Amino acid sequence: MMHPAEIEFLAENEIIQIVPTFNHASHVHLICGSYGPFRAGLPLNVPIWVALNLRQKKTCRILAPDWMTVDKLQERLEEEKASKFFTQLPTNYYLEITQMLLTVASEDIPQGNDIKTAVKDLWDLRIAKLRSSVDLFVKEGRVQASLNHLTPMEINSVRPVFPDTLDALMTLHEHINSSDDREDSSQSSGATPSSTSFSLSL
Amino acid sequence: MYETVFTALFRLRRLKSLGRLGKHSSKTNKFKFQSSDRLTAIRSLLEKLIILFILSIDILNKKNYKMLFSLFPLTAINNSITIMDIDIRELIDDEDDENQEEMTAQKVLQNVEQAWLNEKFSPEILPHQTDYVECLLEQIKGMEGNLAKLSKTDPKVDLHKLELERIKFVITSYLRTRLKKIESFCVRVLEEEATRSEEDKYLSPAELQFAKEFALNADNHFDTILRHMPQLYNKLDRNKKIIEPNLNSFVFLKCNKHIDSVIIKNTLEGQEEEIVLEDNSQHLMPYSSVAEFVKNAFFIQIIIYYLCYILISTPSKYFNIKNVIYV
Repeated sequence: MMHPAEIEFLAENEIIQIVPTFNHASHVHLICGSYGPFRAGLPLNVPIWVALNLRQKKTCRILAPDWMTVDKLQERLEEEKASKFFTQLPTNYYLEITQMLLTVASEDIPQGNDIKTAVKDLWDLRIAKLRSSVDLFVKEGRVQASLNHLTPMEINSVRPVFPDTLDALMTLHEHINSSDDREDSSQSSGATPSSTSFSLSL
Repeated sequence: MYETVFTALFRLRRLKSLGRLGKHSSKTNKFKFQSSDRLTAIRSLLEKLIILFILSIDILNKKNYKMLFSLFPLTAINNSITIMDIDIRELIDDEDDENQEEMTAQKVLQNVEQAWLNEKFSPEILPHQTDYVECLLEQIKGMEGNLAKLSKTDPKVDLHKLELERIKFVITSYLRTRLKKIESFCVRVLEEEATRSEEDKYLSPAELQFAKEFALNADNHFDTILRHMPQLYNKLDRNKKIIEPNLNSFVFLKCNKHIDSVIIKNTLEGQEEEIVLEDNSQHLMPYSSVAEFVKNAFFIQIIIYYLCYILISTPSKYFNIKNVIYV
């Protein structure tokens, strides 16, 4: 459905701080907004794709986002462990941003390797949670789930398989129901869950 | 409405012709007023006129402005009367600003990006957003023209080029997704399109032409092949050709706006349930439950956009502000 690179593309629109090493007095009027002025040594906000482009030309230094420190990530991890549901993260694209920044600008980010591990831990934990929720969801035969705070990349990791499974299940049930109706309309399935809405997270 | 505006204008002109409006100063092209109570009288008259005028703008189609002004030779008054500090032009500009604010290039880009994602994940084809796409293409064209003039050493050239590439990617991906859907559900799409009125067509004219040609070619192709088949198999039933999107397929969605009630059909238990979609919440549910909201949200945007698009691209085509309003 969606290539991970396309999610990375979306993540590149997020705003990040850089410190340019060149001077450019006027604003750069991009279609997605105006950014500037660029003054050597003074931090400013730009989209990540601008930051990466400038960094690759070695004309700026990228400042790691606030959440991208080992301590902060550990905190998040503990919170995630303690909560039954998915917790809200500082950004929707934590995995992609970490990946991009560490690939292009690993020297700008202190403790890069530790951060990478911490992010991976967080990802693993959330994916494990997601998988068990999906399992429960399919087994209980619900039709609606709320998925607050799940990030696009996480959703994408279950995207083609999970909805397709549900589609197939629904089609099967429709067939069963329609043949049931023909045979015996009064006979209804006994054990039905009282509430049909299901929460992966609240 | 016309009548009231006319009467007001007429009275204004009579005031002027009677020389009661004040002394004309050729230098500033403004009238100077002698007494303050006369001024207030005229001011109230004018305010009334302006209100009527603005009302008429709201009510009338924008194209009709020209006609309106040709009916009332405002230009005649325009050259000689500039009254006080009320400037209709400002009022109108304000109005336009409100519309334009909705539609900066940035906003158009966001809309196209959203349309792209929606198109990617919805099982059926959605109403086209050609207006936005064309607006963006125009922007790109303009930007490319500007870039050609800049020197290559300018640090911003690279950024602009990169951005253009990014936007082009979104646009092509969006259009390609639509074409793919048209190809898959060709017969179905054409049938549905035929039932829709001119204003709410889902396909753009170009896409419609593509769909028709595609259907024709596919038919021709089947005909040629089936001619060589045994008699028993050489007919193709319409129902066998048709491929329909599964509207009940599950989609992940994020809610941009609070929706009070969404009905979800539970095929497992044959019941319906109602849920509330809160702002910014994310859900997984069958597409059919939210299909209307996905389409309608865009429909509203199209309307706003239509007005603004004209303003962005050709501000003076339909209505020459400078000539007319200097009441």
